[in-house]
Amino acid sequence: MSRTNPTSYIFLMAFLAGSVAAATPEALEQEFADNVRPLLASYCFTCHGNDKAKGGINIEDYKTLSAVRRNPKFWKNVVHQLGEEEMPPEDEKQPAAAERAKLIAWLEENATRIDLASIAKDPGRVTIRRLNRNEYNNTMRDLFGIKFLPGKNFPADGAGGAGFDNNADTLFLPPILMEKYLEAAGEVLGSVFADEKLRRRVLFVEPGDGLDKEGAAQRILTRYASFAFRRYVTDIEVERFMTLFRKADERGDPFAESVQLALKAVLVSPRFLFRQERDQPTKDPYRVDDFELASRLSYFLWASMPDRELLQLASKDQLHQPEVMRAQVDRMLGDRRSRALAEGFAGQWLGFEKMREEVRPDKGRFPEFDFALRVSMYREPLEFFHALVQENRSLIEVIDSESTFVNARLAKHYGIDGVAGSKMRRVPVPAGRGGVLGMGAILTSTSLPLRTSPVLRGRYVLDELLGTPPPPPPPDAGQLPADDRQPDGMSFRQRLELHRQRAECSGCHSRMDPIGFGLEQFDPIGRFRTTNLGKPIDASGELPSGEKFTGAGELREILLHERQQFAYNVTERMLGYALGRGVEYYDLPTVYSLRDKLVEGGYLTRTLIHGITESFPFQFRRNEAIED
Amino acid sequence: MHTPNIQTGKWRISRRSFIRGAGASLALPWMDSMALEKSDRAPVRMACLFMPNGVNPEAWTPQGTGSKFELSPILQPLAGLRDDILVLSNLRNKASNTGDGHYVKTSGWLTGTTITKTTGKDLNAGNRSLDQVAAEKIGHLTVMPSIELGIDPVTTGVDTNVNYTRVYGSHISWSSATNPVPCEINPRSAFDRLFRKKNRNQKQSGDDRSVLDLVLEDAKALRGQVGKLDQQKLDQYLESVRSVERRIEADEKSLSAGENADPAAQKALVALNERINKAFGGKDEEKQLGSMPRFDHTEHVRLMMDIMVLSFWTDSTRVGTFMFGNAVSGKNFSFLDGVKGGFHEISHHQNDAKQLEQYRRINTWHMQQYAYMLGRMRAIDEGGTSLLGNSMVLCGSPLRDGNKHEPRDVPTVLAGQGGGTIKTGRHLEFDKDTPLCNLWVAMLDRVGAPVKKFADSSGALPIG
Repeated sequence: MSRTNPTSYIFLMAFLAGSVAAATPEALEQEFADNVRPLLASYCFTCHGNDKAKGGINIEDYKTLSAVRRNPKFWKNVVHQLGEEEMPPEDEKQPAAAERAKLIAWLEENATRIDLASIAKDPGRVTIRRLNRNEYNNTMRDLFGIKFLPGKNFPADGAGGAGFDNNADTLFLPPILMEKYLEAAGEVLGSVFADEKLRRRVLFVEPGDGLDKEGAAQRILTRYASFAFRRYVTDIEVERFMTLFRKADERGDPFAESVQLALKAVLVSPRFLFRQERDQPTKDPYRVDDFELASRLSYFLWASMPDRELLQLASKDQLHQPEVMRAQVDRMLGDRRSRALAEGFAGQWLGFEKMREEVRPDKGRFPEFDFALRVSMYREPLEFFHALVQENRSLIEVIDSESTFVNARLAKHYGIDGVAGSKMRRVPVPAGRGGVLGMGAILTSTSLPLRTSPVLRGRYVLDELLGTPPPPPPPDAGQLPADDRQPDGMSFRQRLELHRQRAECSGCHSRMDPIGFGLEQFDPIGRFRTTNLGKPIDASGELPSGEKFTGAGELREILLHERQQFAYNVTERMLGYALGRGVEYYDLPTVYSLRDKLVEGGYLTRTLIHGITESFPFQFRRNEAIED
Repeated sequence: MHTPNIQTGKWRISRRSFIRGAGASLALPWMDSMALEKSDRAPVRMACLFMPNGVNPEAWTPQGTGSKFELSPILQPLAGLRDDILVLSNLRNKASNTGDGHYVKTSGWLTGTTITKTTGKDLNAGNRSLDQVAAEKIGHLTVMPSIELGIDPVTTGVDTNVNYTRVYGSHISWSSATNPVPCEINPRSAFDRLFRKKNRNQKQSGDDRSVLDLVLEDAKALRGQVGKLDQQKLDQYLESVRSVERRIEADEKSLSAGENADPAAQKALVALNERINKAFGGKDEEKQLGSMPRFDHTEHVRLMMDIMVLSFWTDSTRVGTFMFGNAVSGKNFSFLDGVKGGFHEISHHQNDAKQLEQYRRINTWHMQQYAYMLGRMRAIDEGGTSLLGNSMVLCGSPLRDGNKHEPRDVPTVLAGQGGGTIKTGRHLEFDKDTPLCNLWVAMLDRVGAPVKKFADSSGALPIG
C-alpha cells in the first residue's frame, strides 16, 4: 500500500506489511529525534503544535517514534497528505522536494507499518461500566418479566470509543439519573408486586412450612441479588439487604412489602447499575472469571443480563471451556434477545438508529414521509442484519445483497407490488437496490432535509462501511445551498464540482463526491428517480483511481473489490462494541487475526461473532497500569 | 405565621400561611405589604442560554455604544426589552480557539478552557462550568441546586473526522472537568421533577433514605476494591446519591415547590402543566420507536423556557442552563418564512447573500424566543422588582460566525438587572479580545458565588 497504488488513494488504511527494517529500536528512536522530528518541527508545528493545533491535530505531541507507532492510522494520513502535497498548505513554508521525499520514505518505512509481533500482549482494561439506558431496560425486563421500559425517560447516553453508547468511559451518572434510578426501581417493583403472576415469581417461597419470614426473605434476596449482580452473592452481602427487610418487618409491614424494600436497594446498588470486574493479584493479564465472562457475553449478544443457564455454567466454572462457550454463543444467538445485536450494534454502526429520532426530512417537501414509513425504514436494515446473524449469512451482503426486507408501506415506497400488511418479510431487491446503500433508512439519514447530499453519502461509504474517514473540512469550508431548488439554473452537481476546484477541498472531495454521485438515483427519502428538477440524473462518477462507473449497481461492484477493507472495518467496530471500549493499538493483532479468519471463512457473520468471543481481549483483562 | 422557608429561611414568607392569616381575598403581589430589610432581598437568579452555530456577523452587532445604540437586525425582537439588556461586544473565549470548530466551543463555553481531544478515554473539559460553580455555592438554598434544560438528546457516536466523542458537543454544564451534566429535554419529566408533588409520605421518605444509606455504604466498599478510573465513576455515583438525599430532605421540609408558591405562580404551574399535556397529546404512536414526540420546535423551546421561569419564580432553583440545540445542530428551520434547510448547513454561508439572509432569520428566531422568556420574567412581580430585575439571563453563542468558527467577539447578550447591580440598556464595546471569562466573574459575583479568577479571566467585567 503506497501512494503509487491508485486504490490507496481512495481507501487509506494501515496494511500489514511484515516486520520493519533491521535497525535496532534504539537506533531508530535516535534517528527520529535527530533527523525526522526537526523536519516536522520546521514544517508542521506552527499549525499543528502545542501552541496551535489546527483541526485538533498536534504533531508536536509525538515526541518519540514509539509514540508515533501507537497511531499508525494517523501517520498513514500524514504521509498521505505529504505525498499529495496537501500539507503544508500552499501559503506556508514548503519543504524541499528531497526533504519531503525523505520524510515520506522514512515514515512509511518506520512509522506507518504495523509490526504486529512487536506489540506487547495487552488485553486492555474496561472501566467499570454503567448499564446504558437500553441495557437497563432489557435487564429489568429479563429480571422481572415486566413489559414496559422503565428507563424510557433517562437521559440519552453519549457514545465514545468505537462509536457506541455502551462505551464505559462515556457513561456518566449525573444526579438526575440517580433520581430516575430510584424512581424507576420503585416503579418496576410496584408493577411487579401488583401483578399476580410476576409477584409469585419473585415470592417463590413464602413464610410457612417450617420456614420463618427471615429464612424466606433470605432465600428470595439471595436469588434476586445474585441475578441482579450477575454472580452468586455471599451471605454477608445478603445480610446487608436483610437489614432493610427487618426494618420494614419490625414495624409491621406485610412480608411482600418488606421484601420489596430490600429489593429496591438491590436495584439502585452500584453492583447492579455497574458491571464491575474484579482485579486479580497479578501484574500479568488474566482470564476474567466465569461470571464476568457470562456478563461479557450477555451484554454483547443480548444487551442484557446473563440468564440462568449462563450463570449455572459460570458457577460450575465451565463457561470458559471452548466447546461450552461456543455452544452457548450459538444458543444465545438463536434466542430472540439477540435482536439487541442488530438494534444496538448494527443500528449505531450503520446509522439506522438515527431514524428513531434525529432524521427529519422536510415535511412540506416530503409529506409522504409519515410515521409508518419512518418505522418501516428503520426496520428494514434491522431485520436484514438480524437475519445475517440468524441465518449466518455473509457480511458482504451489507454491501450487496439479492434480497431485503419490506412491508406494504415500504414496498409501495420502493415500487414493489404484491406486499400486504405491516409485517416485514424477505423479498428480492428491486433493480438498483441491494445492500444497505439501497435502503431507505441509509439513503434518508445521509440526506439533508431538502436535498440529497452526495458528500454525506460518500462519506458514509468511506467512514461507516470502509472505516477510512476523510479528515475534517477546514473551518471556513463552504456548504452548498441547503435546498437543491436554486433559481440560477446551475445543477447541484455543477455546484459541487465547482466547489471541489478549491485545492484544499479537492483531496477529500474527489474521494467522497463521486461515490455520492453514484447514489444520486435515490432521492432524499430513498425513492428511485431518473430525473431531478426536470433534468435527467447523472449518476456517473470517477474515482481518483480512474475507475469509472454509473449508478449504484456499478458502484457496488467497485466496493466489492474493497471487501477486505470492509471486513477489517466491521471487525474493528464489532470488537469495540463487544468490549465496550475503543480499539487500541495493542488490539491490532486481534483485529488482524479476526479479519483474516473472517475473510478465510467466507465472511460469515457468526465467524466474526465467535471469533470475538474467543479473542484475547474478550476473555482477558489486566489491572490498571501505572500510566492509566 | 412566618414559616421559615427552606430556600433561605429568610427572604420569603410561606405564601399559604400568609394568605390564611390575611384572608385569601387579598390578592397581594409578592410581599409588597411587608417592608423588606436589606437581608431579605429576593435572590439573584442566573440563566445561561446557549445557541449553537454562531450568528450572521454582519447582522449582530448594534450600531453605536453606551445607551445610544441601535438594535441590529438580529436583535430586533428585543426592541421592547431594550432597557433590560446589555449587548456585550469584543469578548473572546481564548481557550476554545483550538481543536475543532464546534466541540471545544460548546463544552468550553462556560468553562473557559480547552477540552482534551478524545473519543472518550480521557474525557476532560478542563474546568467546572460557570453555572455549576454557582450551583455548588448557592445550590443548597433551593430544592434543586441547578437545572439543565435542552432540546436535543445527547448526540451519539464519535466524530471520526476529528476524533472527538460527540459528548462534548452535547453539554455546556460540567459539574467537574470530567463530569458532563446532561440536559433534561422532555418537558414532562422536567416539570414533574421540579414541581409535581412527590407523593412521598414520611414513611416513604424514610425508606428511600435507608435505601440510599445502604447503597452508599455498598458503593464505598466497592470503591476500595477497584482501580483509579473506576473510582472516578463510583465517585459520580456517590455524589449523585448524596444529591438525591439532599433532594429528599428538601422535599420533606418544603413539600413541593409548587405548594409554597405565590398563587399566581400556582396558577401558572397549572396552566403550564396543561400546555405540556397538550404538547404530548395524541403522540402515542411514537412509542413504537421509543422516541420523543415530535413537538413543534418553537413550542418545545418555550415550554422549556417557561419551566425555567417558573422554577426561578417559585425559587426551586436559582441557576439554570438551556441549550437551543447541540453543537453542529442541523435542525431544519424550513418552518420559518424564507428559510430552506438545516441550521448548520446554512451557517456555512460562504458570504453568499442569500445564505446570510437565511442565517439571519434563524438567529432572529432565537432572539424571539429569548424575548419571550424575558417578557415573561419581566411580567412577574417580586415586590416592586420584576423577576427579570432580580435575574441575569445570558444568551449567547460560543462562536461568532458559523463560517469561521472563531471564538472572538462572541455574540453575547445579558438581560436583567441582577438585583439592581447591572446597568442595562447599553451596548458595551470592550477592548478587543477581552476575556469572556471576565463576564463569568462578574456574574458569579452577583449570584452570590464570587471567585477571584475564572479560567483566563483578568478581572470582573464592568457591567454595573
